[in-house]
Amino acid sequence: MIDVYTMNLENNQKYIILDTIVKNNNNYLIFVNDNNDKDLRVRKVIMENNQEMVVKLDSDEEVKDILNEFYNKHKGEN
Amino acid sequence: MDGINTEVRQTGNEPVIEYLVKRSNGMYNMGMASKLAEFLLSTYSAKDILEGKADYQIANLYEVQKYITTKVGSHFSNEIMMNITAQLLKDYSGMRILNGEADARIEEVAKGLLVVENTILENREKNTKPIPLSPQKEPRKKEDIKAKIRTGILYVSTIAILATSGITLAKVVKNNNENMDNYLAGLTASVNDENYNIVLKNTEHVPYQNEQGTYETRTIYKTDGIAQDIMTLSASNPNEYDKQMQKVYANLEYNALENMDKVFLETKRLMAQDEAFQSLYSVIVDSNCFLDYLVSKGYIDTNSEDYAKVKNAIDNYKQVGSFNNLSSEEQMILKKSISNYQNIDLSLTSLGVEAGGRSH
Repeated sequence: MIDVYTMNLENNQKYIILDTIVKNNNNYLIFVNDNNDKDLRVRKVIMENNQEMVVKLDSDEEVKDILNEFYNKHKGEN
Repeated sequence: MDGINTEVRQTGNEPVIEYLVKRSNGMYNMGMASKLAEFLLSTYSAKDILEGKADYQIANLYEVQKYITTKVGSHFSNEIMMNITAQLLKDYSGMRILNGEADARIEEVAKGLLVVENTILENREKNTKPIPLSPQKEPRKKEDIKAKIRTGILYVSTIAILATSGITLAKVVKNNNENMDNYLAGLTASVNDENYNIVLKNTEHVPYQNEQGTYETRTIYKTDGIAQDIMTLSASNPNEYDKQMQKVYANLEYNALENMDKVFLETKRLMAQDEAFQSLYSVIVDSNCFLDYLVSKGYIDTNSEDYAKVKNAIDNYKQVGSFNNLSSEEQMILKKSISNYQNIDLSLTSLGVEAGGRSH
């Protein structure tokens, strides 16, 4: 067994934090729906009023960049 | 040290890629061959590939890719299909895939592509309100998490290609204001129907040499085959005729009117020849060309102010017999008129064959 982190992203659905990607001094989180492996979400971690918040990305390119990082990081794993 | 390995080390995978392009008789371009090379080099040495020891695997992979395409339709580019194939071959032998043992997985992959694409759309929204990062720790089986990562990279890997291939299913789905569930239901239903895609069934990818001298693939249609299939399918259900013609039209190339005339006239010829198709007489009206047919069905509004212009353009088209020989104004008038027909049902038809020049 391993410890993972989960949180409700929206609609009270539980998402597992699958990975953390650091790019251009930003932290990104890759979430996967606990009940649907194909429902991936990408969020950026930002600081707001000294609190860590997650926010949706605002461009296609940014999403694709992060997903590519995720792919390249794990593609050799079995 | 032998010469081949030295060459590979000096120039990367280029000799292998060039070998694969050559070996595929032009079916694979450099980009696709590069992906195939990456896949093969995880099992074979460059030397073995160049000596032909992977030829069986290359042929096997091509057969498997063709099989998977028949299962998921031709919505995805060859690059994506190659990627899906390579991923599936990690878990199944080619023979098992060809025997249908991976069918459920293949269908899931096709759906998953769309789900992830939808996710990109979802992430595209701007100025959304941040929510506090508030994770809860939970124990999970390590294998379950690894499986989720494996599934994730399978879908993400296809997105990486989507991003560079110019094909954005999400864009198509978004532009059509289509509900994702309906789309998936339609896709599943259509794939399960043996007559599901007359266009796909009559589509061939053929290699050709482009202006730069490299090989690409072009999509061509077997016009006679399309006409025969439309008639066969419509014989017992005349309502199908129009639906299938729309499907064909939606997937044809820019000069679609000329192509559609070939299909239309072939269906008329078949009707005249075969008693089995006589029931379609009332459907295939006594028209000279596809445009006549659209007018008779009411898909071109004869009451509109512009109809005089449209009628002139149609008459001229029938006279010159070639869309390309019409004036640019007439071409525009006809394209605008016919677009009404194409917009009747975009649920699946606009998601068809993508290669060969049709732009979405």
